[in-house]
Amino acid sequence: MTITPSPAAEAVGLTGARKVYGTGAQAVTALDELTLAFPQGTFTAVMGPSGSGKSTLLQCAAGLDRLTSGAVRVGGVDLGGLNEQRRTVLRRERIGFVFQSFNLVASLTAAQNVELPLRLAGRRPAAAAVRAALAEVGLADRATHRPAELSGGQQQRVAIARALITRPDVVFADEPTGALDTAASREVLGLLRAAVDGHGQTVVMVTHDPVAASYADEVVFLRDGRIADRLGGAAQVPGRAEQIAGLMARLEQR
Amino acid sequence: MIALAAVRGRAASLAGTFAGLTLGVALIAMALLVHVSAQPRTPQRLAAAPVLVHGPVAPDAAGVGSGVRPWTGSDAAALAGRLAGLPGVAAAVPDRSFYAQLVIGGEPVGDAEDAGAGHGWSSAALGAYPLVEGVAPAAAGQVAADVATGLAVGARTTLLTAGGPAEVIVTGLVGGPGVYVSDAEAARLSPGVPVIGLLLRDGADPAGAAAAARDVATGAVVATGEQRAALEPVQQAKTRWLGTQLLIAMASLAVFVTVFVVASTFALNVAQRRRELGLLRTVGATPRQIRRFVLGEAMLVGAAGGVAGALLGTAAAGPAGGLLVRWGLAEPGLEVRPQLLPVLAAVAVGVGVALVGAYAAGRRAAKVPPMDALREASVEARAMGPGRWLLGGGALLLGGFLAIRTAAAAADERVNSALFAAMALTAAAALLAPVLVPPLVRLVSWPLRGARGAGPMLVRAESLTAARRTAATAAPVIATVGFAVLLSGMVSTMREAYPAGQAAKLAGITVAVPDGTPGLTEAAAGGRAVLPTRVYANGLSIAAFGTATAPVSVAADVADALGVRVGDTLSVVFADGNAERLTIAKLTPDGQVDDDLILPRELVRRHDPSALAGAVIGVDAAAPAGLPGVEVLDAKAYADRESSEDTRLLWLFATVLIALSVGYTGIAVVNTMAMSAESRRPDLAVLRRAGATPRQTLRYAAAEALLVVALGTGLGLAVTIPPLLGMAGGLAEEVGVPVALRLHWPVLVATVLATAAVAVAATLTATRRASAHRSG
Repeated sequence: MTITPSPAAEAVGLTGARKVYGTGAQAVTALDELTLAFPQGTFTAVMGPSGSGKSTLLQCAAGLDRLTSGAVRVGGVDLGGLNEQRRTVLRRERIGFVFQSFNLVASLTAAQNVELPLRLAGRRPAAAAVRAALAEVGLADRATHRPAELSGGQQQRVAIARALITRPDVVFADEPTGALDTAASREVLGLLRAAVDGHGQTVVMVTHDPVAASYADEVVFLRDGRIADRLGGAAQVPGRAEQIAGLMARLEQR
Repeated sequence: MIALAAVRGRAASLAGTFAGLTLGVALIAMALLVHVSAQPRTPQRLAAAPVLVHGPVAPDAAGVGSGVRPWTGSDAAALAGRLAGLPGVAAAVPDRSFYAQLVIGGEPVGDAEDAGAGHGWSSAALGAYPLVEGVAPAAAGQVAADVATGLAVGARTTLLTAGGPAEVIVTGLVGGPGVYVSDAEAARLSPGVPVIGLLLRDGADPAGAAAAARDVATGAVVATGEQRAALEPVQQAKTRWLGTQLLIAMASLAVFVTVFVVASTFALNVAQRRRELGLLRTVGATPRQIRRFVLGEAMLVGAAGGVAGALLGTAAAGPAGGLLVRWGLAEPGLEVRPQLLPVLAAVAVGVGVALVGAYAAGRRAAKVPPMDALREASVEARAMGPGRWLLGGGALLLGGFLAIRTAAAAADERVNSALFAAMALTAAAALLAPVLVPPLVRLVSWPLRGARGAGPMLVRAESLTAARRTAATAAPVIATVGFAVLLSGMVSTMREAYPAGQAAKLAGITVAVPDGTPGLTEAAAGGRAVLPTRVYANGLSIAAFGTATAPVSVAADVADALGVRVGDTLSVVFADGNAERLTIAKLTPDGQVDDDLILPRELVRRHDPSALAGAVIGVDAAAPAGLPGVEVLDAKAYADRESSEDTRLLWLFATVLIALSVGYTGIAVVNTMAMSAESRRPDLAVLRRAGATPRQTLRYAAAEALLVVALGTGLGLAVTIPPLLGMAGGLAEEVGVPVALRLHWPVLVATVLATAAVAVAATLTATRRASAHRSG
């Protein structure tokens, strides 16, 4: 079954988002009056040179960090008005995460790692659902393995299964392929793409890799905390990675 | 699920907590089991009487033990006559105990502490002690002796009673302990009767006889079964009190140190798991849930350690009871039986202690921000937060204040005051260590700064940059060295001070003291010595002392307990059961003398023919020499003798507590060393890649461990010197001679060497494992 969301509905939106680290002369503006929306059922890549604010964007959009000013909405809920407890609960229910590394709790098995968000929410995970989630990322036979017994790519696939098990409004991925080889990267990106195409999920991915970005529906380029450029259109068309790399190179030269 | 999985996954790093908790619960369980088993028991020599009738039990005015108010001989005889007529009662035996000790070959035999070994012959029936040979004593000058003495029927020997030595003939041998004289002779030596034992006819019901006895003996206590234990001798109550003190000290130390171990290992645990905790926070764990995980983990480890400790403690309780008996802190014949309730209580305490220890770590864990999961490198947090500064500074001020107060504290509060001062200063040193470490490291490594090798540079840099880790590793060393130095130093200082003070007070004087007997007879004391006895007034039992000249005077706190003031008249019941009305002439302020009530000596002797004098001071050396059971000493020898029992007990306590605390903090040292080595795995890999041989990395790790031990030793000494100085000052004030601070060097050196050995061994093991893991 394919869900076709109306193009207007946003999963995550930022309005006038401003984030300043430090005070006085040492103050650094990481996000500068940024307004941006990630529509439901889309795959967006966020790119930019070091210090462009892409990680800050992800952390603020996910409610891991607070904005200095401006607003963030996740699934229509304004994060600014929530305390830490409420934001945690919202994160648990509406947001999934995939990081570059250290995604999994080392002492838990793959299946237990996948169950984690449900158990934290006080729900009893259905064994079948967990099995299905692992099967979807091709790890049905690794359910009882601990992270140390899995390859880096397999660990990232477990992290994706966990990010998707709550059917979140949005999945944030921070350099999910940063520590992987080409083959493993392709598998992980394929899974993220499939989550969007097959289940109508929304994925926001921070990356510096043009090949990874070429899997996205839209690429947003940041510079000095502002949108420097956008590249829309169909994903994975031939030559797209080269096109993204060219844009990045120009951005970094300026 | 998460707590359980976390415990399973990190079994190795929780091993220290587990070991500490196991030991703690084992100690508590053991102490409780021994304590419960050492409860008062019916004296063996009265056990064959199913019903015992005795006077009211009066608690001691000073708070330790109790006494039974006696009847006069005639009242007791009348009451015994009425009791003997009750249905089912075969005999009612008035039981008397008094000082009687046989002298064989010129030496007094039997328990040198027992001032109540003598009884009338009829009392032998109350313990069902049989007459093994010969006949019962029937007249003055005849005794029945314990068959174990090896005496023969018809033997002539010397009997010591309170009057002095007398020639007696052994007419019979008894199958039980004690010296038995004729009932008439017993009534002369002890006119009063504290207890009447009822022997029942075959098949008579003790409860029925007791009920009948209650109607007859109004105002008396009628005891059956376990209730008869109230009649245990005072000496046994004192022994048990001493044993209980040691058990309490052990159990409290176990609780204190377990909290310390759990708190430090959990703190390190949380610090090392920041990233994992951050990950849990990002995937939706609330701060409260994180706190619950940490506490859940503590509870699981606590429960596991509790069960292991319960088994260990139950197994160890028997041998521990045996040790207490051997040390003279429990009565022979103590049987430690496993019981459920004390063990369960110990397990509950263990779990509670684990939760208390993990509480602070749980709070810190809950504050880990979700973003910590995203950070690549673990950056050492600020060395000192404001809370730590505040707590450390407060502990330092408190410790300094207590150390100064130690010098001014009363004698019986001095030891505790010094202990608390040392505890506060230890806590201060542990809390402030992150700021103390860098300058100390620079100081210690100053001579090495020009060295050529990489070693000194690395060791210095590691200890300086990771000040907080270095401090955390040094904390248990501070506690170990601090405890050992403090406890041994206290005993050494006191052992010097008290005899020196006594000898100074008694310079040039000779003293006659008991030798193998519980006290001096009238023949030896010659009417000069203070005569202790026990009297009863206003429902209290009071230690009274007969002196030649003193007016009737009462210690102020005893006067409060009795509710009397100067000029009041007090009705006092003596050992012979007779009452006298006394007018209080004087109150002595608290702490000035140990004597609760001072009476004219002649009055005490009149009412207590078996009272024994303690020591005669200033006696002409020649006078009592040659009498059995008397030794004449000079001032120095007397002072040493006086303090020898105190010193023995002090050493015993100190040794047990040092062994416990050092063994305990040793666990913490192993644990923190191993954990800190584990956390340096990435550094090790970098070192290896930079060209360090495996042997070199091990050497660096060992050097760093030794540096930490050196830091901990320095701080440990620093925290114990002020309380010990305070104590020496207070002692000098009390005994009137200068008292120097004495450290017990063998204990100090042994502790430091043992700590260093343990620390290096733990570090090397963990480092070797860490590097093997990396390459494998």
